[in-house]
Amino acid sequence: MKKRGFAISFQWIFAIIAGVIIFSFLINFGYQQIALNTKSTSLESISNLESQLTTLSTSNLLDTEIETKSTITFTCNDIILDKNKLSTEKIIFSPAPNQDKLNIWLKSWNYPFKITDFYYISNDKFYLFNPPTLEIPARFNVLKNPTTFSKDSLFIFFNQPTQNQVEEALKYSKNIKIIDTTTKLITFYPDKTTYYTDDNFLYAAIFSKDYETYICLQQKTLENLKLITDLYKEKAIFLQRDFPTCGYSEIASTLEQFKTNLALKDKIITQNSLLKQNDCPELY
Amino acid sequence: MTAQNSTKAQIEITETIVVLLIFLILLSLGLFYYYNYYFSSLEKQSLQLSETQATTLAASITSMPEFSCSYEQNCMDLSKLFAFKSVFERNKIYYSKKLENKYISLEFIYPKPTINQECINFLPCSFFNLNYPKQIKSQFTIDSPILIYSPYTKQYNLARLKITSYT
Repeated sequence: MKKRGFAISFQWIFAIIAGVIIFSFLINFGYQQIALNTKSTSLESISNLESQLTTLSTSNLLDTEIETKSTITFTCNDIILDKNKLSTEKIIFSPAPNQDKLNIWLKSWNYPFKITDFYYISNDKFYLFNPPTLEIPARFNVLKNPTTFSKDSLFIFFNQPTQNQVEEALKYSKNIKIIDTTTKLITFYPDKTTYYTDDNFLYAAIFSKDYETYICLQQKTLENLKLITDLYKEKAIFLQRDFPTCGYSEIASTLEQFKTNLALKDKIITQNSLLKQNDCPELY
Repeated sequence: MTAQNSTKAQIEITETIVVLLIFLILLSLGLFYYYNYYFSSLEKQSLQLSETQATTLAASITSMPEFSCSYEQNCMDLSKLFAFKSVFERNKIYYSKKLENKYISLEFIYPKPTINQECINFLPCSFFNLNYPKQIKSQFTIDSPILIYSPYTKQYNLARLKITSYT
């Protein structure tokens, strides 16, 4: 009797252990499948979004809206959706995670030739105080000199705000920027200051998440500038061979210096115009 | 009686093990076929994604500052294509990523080239290789006609843009 009891209990123990192992394997398998499916869907969505952004640069449409069912965040180098990210070479300024829809504005950066496209993306509320004339498309939620505010909006003061204004803004948001249009200085409140060179970077400051992202994207843009400048320098060298009397070597030398000295922009414009005057192919 | 019980118990345990083994074999077979189906559907999805990327690249390549003409849209500048060769060699990683790791070439169609030679430094030549990633397995090729402006002759040439995706 004792041995029979032992045999039955051993069978049960064996079946339970095997059952638990198989059951836990199946549950783990199920979870892995869900995670894998979510990841592949997210990556497909990000890749499609990236393609849509690329297509925008080829169309004449400069601002548009894209519907989204997920929360999409843009950092300096990545597009993030549901914790999955895809690295991007695009220059995208976006202040906060975007839900429901993406308001997109595309603006080419020419310095003096086209370097890249800037993407400004947001569906947040922007409060602008004493702004100069700006060309932000109407689809963006921009309010000029408002008196009532809502939480988690973006406050942008043009020229020095009063202490009261800053204290009031701090009650609603941590994203406060002070832009001095005379000195071209941007202060990411409270203490991080940088500069902007032209309108593209002024809008970049308005749409930036924070100081670090602004600087990172600025660096990325300058890397693009170096690459495109290098390309135009090579183009000048090629043209010099076929048009030796046009003086492409001078503009090639200016372009080499331009990579480290952006103040030479006007000199490049002048030299390029001179090529046209001399009936030589323009560089850009 | 005791020996008979022991044999019976041994048979029962062996039965359980055999049933378990058969169950595991069936489970592994099921998983094998499921993964086969799953990976083939993933491959299909990746192919579709790659196709979208290639089509987008074909549509956007003429607006890239590296190739675009100064005034015309939907056109590539011949002198920029020559210049790009050396810039690409110096920044291979960046451009391979920007050009989506696709094999990109341009073949002159009209006027018909007189020589069958890759364009590296000089004309005449018949084709440009703009990006040539390490090829493993060809997936598909997208063809698109494209205008190429020559600042040397101040004329437009017709070329075939070929974008091939690889896995």
